[in-house]
Amino acid sequence: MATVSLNDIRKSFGALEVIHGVNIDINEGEFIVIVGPSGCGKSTLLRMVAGLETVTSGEIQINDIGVNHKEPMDRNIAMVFQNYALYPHMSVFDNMAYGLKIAGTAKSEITERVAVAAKLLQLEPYLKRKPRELSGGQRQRVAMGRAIVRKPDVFLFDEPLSNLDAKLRVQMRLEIKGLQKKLGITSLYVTHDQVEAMTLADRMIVMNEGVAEQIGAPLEVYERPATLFAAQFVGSPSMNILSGTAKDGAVTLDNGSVIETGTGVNGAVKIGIRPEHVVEDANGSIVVNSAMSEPLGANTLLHGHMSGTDTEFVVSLPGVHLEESLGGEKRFSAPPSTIHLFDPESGQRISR
Amino acid sequence: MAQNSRSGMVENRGSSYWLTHVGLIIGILVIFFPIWVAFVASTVTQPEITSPPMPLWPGDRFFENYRDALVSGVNAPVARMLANSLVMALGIALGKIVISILSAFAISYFKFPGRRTFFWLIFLTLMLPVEVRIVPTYEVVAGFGMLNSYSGLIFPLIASATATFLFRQFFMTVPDELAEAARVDGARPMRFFWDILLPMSRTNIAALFVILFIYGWNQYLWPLLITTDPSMNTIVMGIKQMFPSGDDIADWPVIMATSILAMVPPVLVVIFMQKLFVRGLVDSEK
Amino acid sequence: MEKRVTFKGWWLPLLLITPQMIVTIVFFFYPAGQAVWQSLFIADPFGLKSQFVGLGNFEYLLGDPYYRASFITTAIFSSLVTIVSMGVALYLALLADRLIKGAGTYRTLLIWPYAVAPAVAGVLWLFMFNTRVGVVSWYLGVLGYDWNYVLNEGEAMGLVVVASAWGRISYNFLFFLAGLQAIPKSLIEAAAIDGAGFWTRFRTIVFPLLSPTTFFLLVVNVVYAFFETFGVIHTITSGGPQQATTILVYKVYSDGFVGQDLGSSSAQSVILLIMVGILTIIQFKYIERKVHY
Repeated sequence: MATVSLNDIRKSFGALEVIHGVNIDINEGEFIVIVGPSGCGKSTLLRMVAGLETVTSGEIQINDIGVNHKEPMDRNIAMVFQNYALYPHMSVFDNMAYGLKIAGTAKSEITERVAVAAKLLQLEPYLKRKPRELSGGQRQRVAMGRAIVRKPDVFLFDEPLSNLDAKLRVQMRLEIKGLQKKLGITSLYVTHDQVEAMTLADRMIVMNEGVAEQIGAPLEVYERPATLFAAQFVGSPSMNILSGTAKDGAVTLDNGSVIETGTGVNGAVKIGIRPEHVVEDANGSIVVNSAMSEPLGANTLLHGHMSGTDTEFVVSLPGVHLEESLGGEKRFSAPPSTIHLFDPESGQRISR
Repeated sequence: MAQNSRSGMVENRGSSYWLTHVGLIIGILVIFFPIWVAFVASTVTQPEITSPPMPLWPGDRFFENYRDALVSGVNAPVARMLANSLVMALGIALGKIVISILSAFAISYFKFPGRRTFFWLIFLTLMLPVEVRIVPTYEVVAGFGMLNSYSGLIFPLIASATATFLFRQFFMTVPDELAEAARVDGARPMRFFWDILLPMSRTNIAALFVILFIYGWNQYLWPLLITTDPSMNTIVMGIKQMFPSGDDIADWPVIMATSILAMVPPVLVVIFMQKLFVRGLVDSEK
Repeated sequence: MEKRVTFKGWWLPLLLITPQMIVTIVFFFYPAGQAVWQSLFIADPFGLKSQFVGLGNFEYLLGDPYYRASFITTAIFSSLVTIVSMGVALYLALLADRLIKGAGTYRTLLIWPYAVAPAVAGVLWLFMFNTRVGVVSWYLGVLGYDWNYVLNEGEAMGLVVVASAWGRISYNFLFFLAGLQAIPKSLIEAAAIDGAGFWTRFRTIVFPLLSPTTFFLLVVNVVYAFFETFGVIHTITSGGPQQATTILVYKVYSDGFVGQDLGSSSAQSVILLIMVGILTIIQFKYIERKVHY
């Protein structure tokens, strides 16, 4: 159990700065997910906390002690890698015991700790096997077991579920969450999958090109995204973004439609409306020419354009809607409270 | 190796099938003929050889001839020469593997001053077999007092860096995450090397051992130059010295027995480690 | 191509490379440097003084008829060895490649000769063709042919070529077989369906696809013929008769050790060094064996 602090962390490779100042104070037992697209710097950030990358400027603290210059092994952290990084010639037991063996732990204690972790992860029948004899999911559990036996202050996960198939991913996701709650160890988890982020995180760091666009609880990011990027990154399907001019509590879109927002902002804006917040309304001002629908069972997605423009618009309608009732021009409206406004230049949220 | 069998190969039926086998068998017979002749010669008596034609079927003097060779030889017991060859071949194979794997580890997993220079220096050594530097190498070895010694036989032949490159190529294929996981687990570099890298390199080491053993065993020019004492002869270079100068007749059965003995260890190594050896050869030229 | 992960510290890696550095410097670079240095001097017969002659040794060599002859001898010798050993190996590999099963057995049987040292191969062939007791010479005599490689230069060359090529067949066979087996059989079958016979297929599909292997083996075999065949020559002909089989590397030995002419021998070594260097560079560049740093 430990606190982790990142104080204005920056990283440069040569002259190129790739992380532009990240700040967060992580509480004991918190599950923090660093989420963002490929190349946004999330893995680099994680590796700096691990000690596998150097910090160019700023300070990383674990339990209020600066660790910038400490080797990974001296930071009392454990890491689960994307490709599991299991030692191929060692048995599952030896893989999990390796770190403890190096630390000089007594044999009896090693056996006990491995047994506890194995039980927790249902690995008991596999202790003598080699990694190549295991399935992907089992290997992932061994990697986690290796981290658990160390009883670290911080867990670090580097996209651990990327190599698993979809169904397994969902299952493992829940296992990881349950495990973390049970063990109560402060965790940093990197992923590009926003669904994983939403389900696992106590708080998320949404990263884009080395900048932390927003730090907050999943629902907070969902309901009050701080930037255009965060707004579009979280939530599936993505939030619809439209350009227009605001005046007197309403926004006039490029195609002439007027949308009530109830805010006092004036000037050019971008507004965001989530597909799931839109309702069918014969008098609504959101006019969509729909081209295609995706029946998903639990809901139906309607893909189309704002009429009169070629701006794409997606609507998510609950339940099953038949093909014939869709298509052509349809009218929708959205409650003003579900409409987000953003500054078109900076992408920042315009609060109300 | 890629598919070892081709199913339903075109035109491979009927007479051409038999011709293929016949062709291969003829090839094998032709290739083995010299060895066969030598074996026969090692089992017959001297007069049978010196009044040709020598019979083409083995005689009955197998044990006597080989015993003569091993115990007394011509100018030194062949058993002694076999031992010398063994020490030399093992020394070269093991010596080269040890210094190369350590260097390869250093240049693959560390950044240190002079790394680039070191890398290109050893790259240069790929280009020169010992035959091109015999005179000065001889002087160096003589200067160290290593003539007629095992060290003199071994050291100049482990100086080239082919093995270092092979290990480096292999290390490049080892996933970075393994070293990182080891780092997180608390393993210092040498611990990582010993516990993880080395076991993973087992097959490469074995394949290289086969090739280096044979390379070392079959050395000729260098042992020829630096051994003047017949008791330090290696078996491969010692055979020629069993031929008399002038018009004396050579002791053919013993010489042939020695030749056969000279071939046995490398051939055994090749046969028993065939899979590794083939892989080692083909991989090493990639 | 570099590893992303590196361990910290610099004294440990320096320590690790020390054994290699020492051995390589003492037994490789220093002698190689010495060879270059000594090539610029002529030592007097008693080895007491040496005189700086700059490129004098080289000039002399290039004008020396014996050296030139050795050059030509080496060229002929290497070409023949390469052609014979690669030709036979290719033939056998083509045969073995046609087999459904059994290719493995033949491979096992054909691999053995690789383990035989060139010098031992020399002794084997010497024995078969010896003018007095050789089995083959005797049968040749019966057929009316007076075989005497000790006197006949062509026969001497022929004998050392065969003895040298013999051991090489295995090595080339291995690579050719691997190369042939890597050609997707779907290509061959498609060509056969299109009506191409064996030789057409060979010319238009197999040989072109085999060319990287062929080129690689070409270079390796030439280097082998230049250097590793010393044992064969020394064993069978000692460079004779009348230096008809004195290849360049043999001359380095006989001038340097037997003739005690250090300057000339060193100069010859330097020339060989340059030639091998060029061959190695060719091998690296064109075979795309890229060594990334």
